[in-house]
Amino acid sequence: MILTQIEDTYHILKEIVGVDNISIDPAILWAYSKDSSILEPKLPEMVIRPGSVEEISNILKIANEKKIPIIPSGGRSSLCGAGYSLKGGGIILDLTRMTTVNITEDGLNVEVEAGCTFSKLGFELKKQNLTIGPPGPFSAFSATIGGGLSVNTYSNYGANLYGVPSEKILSLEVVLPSGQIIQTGSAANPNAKPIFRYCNGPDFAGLFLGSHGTLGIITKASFRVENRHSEEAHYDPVFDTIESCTQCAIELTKTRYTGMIMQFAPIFYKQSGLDIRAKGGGLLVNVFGEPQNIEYRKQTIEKIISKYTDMTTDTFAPIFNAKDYQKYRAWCCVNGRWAEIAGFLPFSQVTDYVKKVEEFMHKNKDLINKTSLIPQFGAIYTLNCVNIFVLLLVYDIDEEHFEASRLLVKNLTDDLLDFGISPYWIGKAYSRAVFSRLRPEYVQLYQMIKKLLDPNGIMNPGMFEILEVGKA
Amino acid sequence: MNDTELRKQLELCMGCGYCRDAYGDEGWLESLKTKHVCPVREILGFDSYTAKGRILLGKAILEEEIPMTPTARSIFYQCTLCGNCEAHCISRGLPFVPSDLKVREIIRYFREKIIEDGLEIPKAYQRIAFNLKQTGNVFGERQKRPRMPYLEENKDASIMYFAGCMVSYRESQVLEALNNVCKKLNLKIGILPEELCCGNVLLRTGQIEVAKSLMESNKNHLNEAGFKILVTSCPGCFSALKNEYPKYEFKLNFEVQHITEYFSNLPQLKDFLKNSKPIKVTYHDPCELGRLNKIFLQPRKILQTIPNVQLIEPFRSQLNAWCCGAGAGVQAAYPDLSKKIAFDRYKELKDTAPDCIITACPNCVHSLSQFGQIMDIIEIIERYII
Repeated sequence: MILTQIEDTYHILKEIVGVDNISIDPAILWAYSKDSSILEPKLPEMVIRPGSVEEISNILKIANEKKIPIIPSGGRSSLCGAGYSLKGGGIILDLTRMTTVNITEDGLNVEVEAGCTFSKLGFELKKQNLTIGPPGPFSAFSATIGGGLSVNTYSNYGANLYGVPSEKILSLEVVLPSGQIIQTGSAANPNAKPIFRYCNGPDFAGLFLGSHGTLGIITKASFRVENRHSEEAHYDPVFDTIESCTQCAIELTKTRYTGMIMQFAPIFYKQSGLDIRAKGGGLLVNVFGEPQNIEYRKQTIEKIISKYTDMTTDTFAPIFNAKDYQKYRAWCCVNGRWAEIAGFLPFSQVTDYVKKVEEFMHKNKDLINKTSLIPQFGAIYTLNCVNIFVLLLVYDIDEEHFEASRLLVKNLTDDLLDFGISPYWIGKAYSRAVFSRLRPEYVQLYQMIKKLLDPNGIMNPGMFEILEVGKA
Repeated sequence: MNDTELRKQLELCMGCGYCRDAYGDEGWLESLKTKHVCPVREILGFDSYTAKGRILLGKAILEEEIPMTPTARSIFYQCTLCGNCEAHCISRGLPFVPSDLKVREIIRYFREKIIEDGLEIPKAYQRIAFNLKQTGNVFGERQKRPRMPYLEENKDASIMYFAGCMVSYRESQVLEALNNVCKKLNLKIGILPEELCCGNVLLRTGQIEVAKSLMESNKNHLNEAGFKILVTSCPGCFSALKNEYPKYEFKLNFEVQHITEYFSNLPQLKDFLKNSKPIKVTYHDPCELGRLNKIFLQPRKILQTIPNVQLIEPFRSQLNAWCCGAGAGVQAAYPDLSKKIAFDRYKELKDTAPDCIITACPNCVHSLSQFGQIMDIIEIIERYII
């Protein structure tokens, strides 16, 4: 926007949200210039903190008319490049004023505004001994519901029993680029409640989940909720071989007694100096249960583990008992910048994946040694597949080393995509690598939908190159 | 902090945003019993007022992407330096594992830089500096103090009480209470006939040169008095004398203690406390005493020594405690902001339905008293002393 246009727009939008909730002051705007990814900051031209869906609708009507880019933003805690102006300029809509949580009387569903953080949602649900199951991503304190659903966020804890947050969705409220407000699922009928996803025709919620704010703005979500488990037990066995580690995890998953299973590659233990016995890596297993069944579940889990190994460590269990953060710090300390490559694979490919990453590390040993990059990797077991992750912790702020680290991230991303992982998030950081590998028909469908819903291309420009006006 | 250290510090922030929100009580994050993290951000709204926002702004200023505009300056000044963001920072560890990211130092760096560069600072800060030069206290009042006969009698004692500006000129009931408690317990604690401000508010608003001249005067004046221990009720004075004076190489030849440290180690205290009807009290942790100096247990130990006093913790306490809004010059320069923060905290303290709200900081007393009665810890000791 040219300066006069910014000022004109500012004065119009100020009337919608009030002077305290809008700014074009660069000193205010810098806070909105970045997420947690390794991408460089970009400055928006305006930030607005809307307080209601109606305000968002009115803002979008004006932005669409004036063809001003709109970037919905929540906690900006993503590692993939999301929630800020990826091309620079435009209007950031900071949704964190919208945090209302309404639990239905029957305690089976919850409706939550998009700016609410995952941890606040968990906090409110806990008052009634409820949970959505997966309590949100690692950044649950700051990550918002709208942001998380927009990138199809993951949740380590609970994923083995409940799946990912998007799977718990019943209905979404979305503001389209035109300013129209739509409700998906059962709530498409104004006389009905947002209680069911798969009705009234196609599953439109699925259209917006993971769309990274390119098609509209998620302003409210309804989740199915569960009773919280009251008992929990933790195990951290280590194994002689990767195969036995993986097989054990698969068998444990099938019991449906486990809320979380994380598998850590052997290199992880070596780097941390925690246990050199773990030649085949290890698991962190959380068993969920109730007083009446926890002992039986524990016995079942112990029996399965004992089939594959008799070695355990005391590495992780205390952490997840929230008693010993120091040990957690020993292996999870991060220092300013990090990258995470993550995506889904069938159980059967876990062993090959671990070997592949080890091979990559070996092949790129010189480059890794040249940088301060420390790779740690493993897998998190969901209901029917695993979410593999490679964390690349960048310990050096030297720009030359940092560039080398970026190259490693890129190369590893390419290798893993070719291997067949399906990343749950994409963001600006991984979009080129991901979309270049997808079937053309799928990409064309996305482009057609984009063109239909957002003909002026105002929603989150720069997020996905394939959606840029002229390419769509 | 020099420029190189600052640049390293700014790179430590991973941008996770835990300095904005940290609703605890969920799964393995259970011990984080808090909600929001930055009291200023909760009032002013924009993330620019979180540690992450200030760090991104600081980087942009260092890289000359943006000058230090009046708004930028206000972003650095509108921070109470309560340290809640540091307590919840995940960089290099999980919350409550000491972070290497020193947000308070970063903000102080930029406040000092504003002064160094000759840019305009809030009028209230200019007035404080002027007052200190003229009168030696932040309020610019003629040197006076309520007469405290017992403490004054002990002017040669080896333990000396440092009242500080707030106790001397605004919350003098704290001094009266101390006088009465010391008299009843026959404690040999004295008070100096004259006192200068400790300089804490200058240090925290970036006015280092004025602060240094004050620290120099205080060093000479206090060292010459020849006592062994200096006790103070004010966490600001305590922190300045204990931590800042040595940092700026003003060596003091006595030990500095907070009043809660002194009284919690006083074995005879419990013998002088009378039984009373049961009361419920809640305790507000002052940021500079608690998060900054880790004095959490001592005030609680004192309260638990008093018979029939039941301590009810507010939702956010100790490392999670919410600020009273007064710190680091915010109350002087941004009274409306400060008052709103104080109101948030007052409401939370009242939620425990206490008979008394107790704290151990005259600045917190002053700030929170805008909405109801707040007692300094020495006042409740006075109430129950035989």
